[in-house]
Amino acid sequence: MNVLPLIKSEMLLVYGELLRRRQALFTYVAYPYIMTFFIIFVGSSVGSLENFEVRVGVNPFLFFIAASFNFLAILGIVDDVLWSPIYDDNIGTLPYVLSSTTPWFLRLLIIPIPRLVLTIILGFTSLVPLFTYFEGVEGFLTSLLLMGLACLAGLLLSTFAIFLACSVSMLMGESWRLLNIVRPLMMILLGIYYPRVLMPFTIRVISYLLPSSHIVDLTLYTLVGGGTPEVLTVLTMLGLGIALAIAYGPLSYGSTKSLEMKKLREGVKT
Amino acid sequence: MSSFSRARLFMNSARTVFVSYVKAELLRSKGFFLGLISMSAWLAILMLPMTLFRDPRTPADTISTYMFIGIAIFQAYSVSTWDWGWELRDSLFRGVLENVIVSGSSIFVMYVGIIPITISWLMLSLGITYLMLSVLVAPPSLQVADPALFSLGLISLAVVLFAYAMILGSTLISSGTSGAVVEFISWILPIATGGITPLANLPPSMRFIALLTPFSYPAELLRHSLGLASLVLPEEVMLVASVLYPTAFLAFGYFYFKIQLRKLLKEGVKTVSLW
Repeated sequence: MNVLPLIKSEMLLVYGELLRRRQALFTYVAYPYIMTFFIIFVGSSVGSLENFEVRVGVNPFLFFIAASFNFLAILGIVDDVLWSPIYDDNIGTLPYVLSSTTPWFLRLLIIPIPRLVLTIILGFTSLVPLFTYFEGVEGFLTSLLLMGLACLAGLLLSTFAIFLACSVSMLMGESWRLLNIVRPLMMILLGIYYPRVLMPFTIRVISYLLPSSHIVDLTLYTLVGGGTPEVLTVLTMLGLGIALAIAYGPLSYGSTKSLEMKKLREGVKT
Repeated sequence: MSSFSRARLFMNSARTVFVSYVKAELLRSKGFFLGLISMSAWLAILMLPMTLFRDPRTPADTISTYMFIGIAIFQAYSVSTWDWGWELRDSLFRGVLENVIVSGSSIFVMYVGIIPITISWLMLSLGITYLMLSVLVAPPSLQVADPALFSLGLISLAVVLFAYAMILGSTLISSGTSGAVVEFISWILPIATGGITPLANLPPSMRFIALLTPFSYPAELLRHSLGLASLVLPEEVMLVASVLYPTAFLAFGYFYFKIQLRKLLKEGVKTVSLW
């Protein structure tokens, strides 16, 4: 099956929406700054920036702008995958999705691709200015590396996100409120704002099961290592992330099929 | 119709709003409880990294108390933005507001009817925040050093937030502004007005800006009454400002609301975007 027309139509949908809702785009671009400002503001009022730097080993401004960027980039890439079953159900397009000749799984799988452009836009508006300001040309190059890692983190999370979205819908129905509980928990486990290494052992083990948590960890290593983490560390992290993303492939396919069968059996509720 | 009958009609309408919210949110969709769980998870995302700023020599409960008060004030701002201000915009989007206007009932029934829901939501969310801070940092030690000042701070905060909700709500219904802008305001406002951090900790320019707004005074009184911050202005000045400024702000909010409503009735309902 030719996936290019699918990707093209998804691109037209995403970019059309983006240009039409410029206020939403503006908020999206502003969010890394708002969250960085918020956390540093409250954090420094209960402690100090120096304490943070001693504990984590990274300039807090760079850490939090990178974390906020990662947070929004990953959400921007996979959020529509997570919402898709609920959204299609709510607006009444699910019967058309199910009766389409294009497999539902494939439709879900290509959702993240056009959204990678958002990551690049966000990277140039958040990472590049701050990293270049603090670290010059080296900072600029680090920010490009972080953008690449964020794109990869978002893509690698896709299969898990499909599995999660379909499993939640399958077991508990299309509830956006439930998804709104699952989403932040997933973001905590990725270790974006709170490094995985500082988490309690049990939570850390669960975190290891998420493909993108390894890429997020690699981001932290990049920051601590001043843009040059060790080659072995990079390969291990990348390998783990990619292997887990592939491992979730059959599970996500199975969960999509199960949900599809359930819908065909029980009908789509309106 | 006599004033008594009008007041009774108003309270009956407000009770109907309250009952319908209880049925829809608490009983039918369980949205109230699921929303709280969701909120605690989102809060954890923000609170966990804040613990990394802590000086190991500073007692954990002191840090926890600071964080609790900051988050409590942020949540109070948040409910006034979303439960009151945004609710008008949402009811406009769902076509409810036009029916309220046509029925001849006051729009304020929407605010008054939601108040019990908002207060209980706020109390429960503060309970969750307390619990989370106890687990993640240490139990916050909330000791009211000056109960009278604390009460004044609370009343003053409620008045300011009610006035703010009226201004925000009426601006939203008369302009059709989208949620993105409101979300932006809901983050910036508590930071810029000294709601989250003690005014003494702010840079002088930011402190000056914060003192120009009515939001900073109740927040500062609350922190001071809990023994968490020393006042940046003499106590007498702070007390007078905490009474007069919020009252004037409420009066302004009310008149602004009336003007915007009149504008809405004259020009018709603005087209609103999806979000």
